Amino acid sequence: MGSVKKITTIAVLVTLALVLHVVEALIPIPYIVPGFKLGLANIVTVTALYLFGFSETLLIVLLRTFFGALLTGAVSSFFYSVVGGIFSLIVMFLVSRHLDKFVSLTGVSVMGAVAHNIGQLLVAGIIINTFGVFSYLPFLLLSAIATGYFVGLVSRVLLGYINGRWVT
Amino acid sequence: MKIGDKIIIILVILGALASYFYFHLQAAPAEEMVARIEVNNRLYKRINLKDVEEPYQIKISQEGGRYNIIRVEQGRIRMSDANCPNKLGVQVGWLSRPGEMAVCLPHRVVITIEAGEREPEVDGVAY
Repeated sequence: MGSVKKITTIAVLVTLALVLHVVEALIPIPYIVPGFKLGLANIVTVTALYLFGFSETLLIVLLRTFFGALLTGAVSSFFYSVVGGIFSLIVMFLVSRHLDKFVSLTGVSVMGAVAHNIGQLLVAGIIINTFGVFSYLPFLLLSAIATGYFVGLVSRVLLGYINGRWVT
Repeated sequence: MKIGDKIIIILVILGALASYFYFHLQAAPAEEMVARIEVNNRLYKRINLKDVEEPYQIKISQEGGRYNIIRVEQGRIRMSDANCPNKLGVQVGWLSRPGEMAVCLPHRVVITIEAGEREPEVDGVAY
């Protein structure tokens, strides 16, 4: 992939993540667990990881969390997003790199969702100085399976589209 | 879906079950139940919920007009209102078992129920 095409693709993916971020904030989600989110922006992280590699995806994660915080004005949640996003990226990178024979995009994305939740609980635990927040962990783990599975499915479709028709 | 995906999903379900047992079923009802309210990581107030006779409310006001209202009844406590953006601490509802907590991160207000703490027993004394 040429460098202009690459820069453009990264920019489009960041924009896509920001749009998903805003759209997700508009969807009313029934209250299940504190901190429960669909994590639609993770679709972009998974897709970028398979499309490029670790460093480009890290750039996308940093850009989307930074601009996402500016866009929604939720600056206090910036640290959760950034730590959760990087944590999830590292785990997905390791799983996709080392367990590629056994694990498909779906498993990678589920592990990413799990890591995202654990990363956010860690930040919350450090900020309020109590690791009692981990009592939410079982519910967040179960929801991570569902959201991770969904994110994996959408990423697969998106990757197929990008590889087939847009970026050669 | 490959075999590894199924293994991952099963492991996560097992992890959820294990952490559920660890965090939620361990907590047995104690003879005294103390709610602890912390603001900015500092202890604001401790309330023995067994001693509450009449329900009452506490209002915690902080700079910038931020407030949290806490409702205390016998044997239970909840964050009944707050003007933070997502009101997660309010949605948690009543807390009545040791280990449960309601957290308002933007205002850094935390309500937890302590397990009845006992003084550590002395193993032995040497002179």
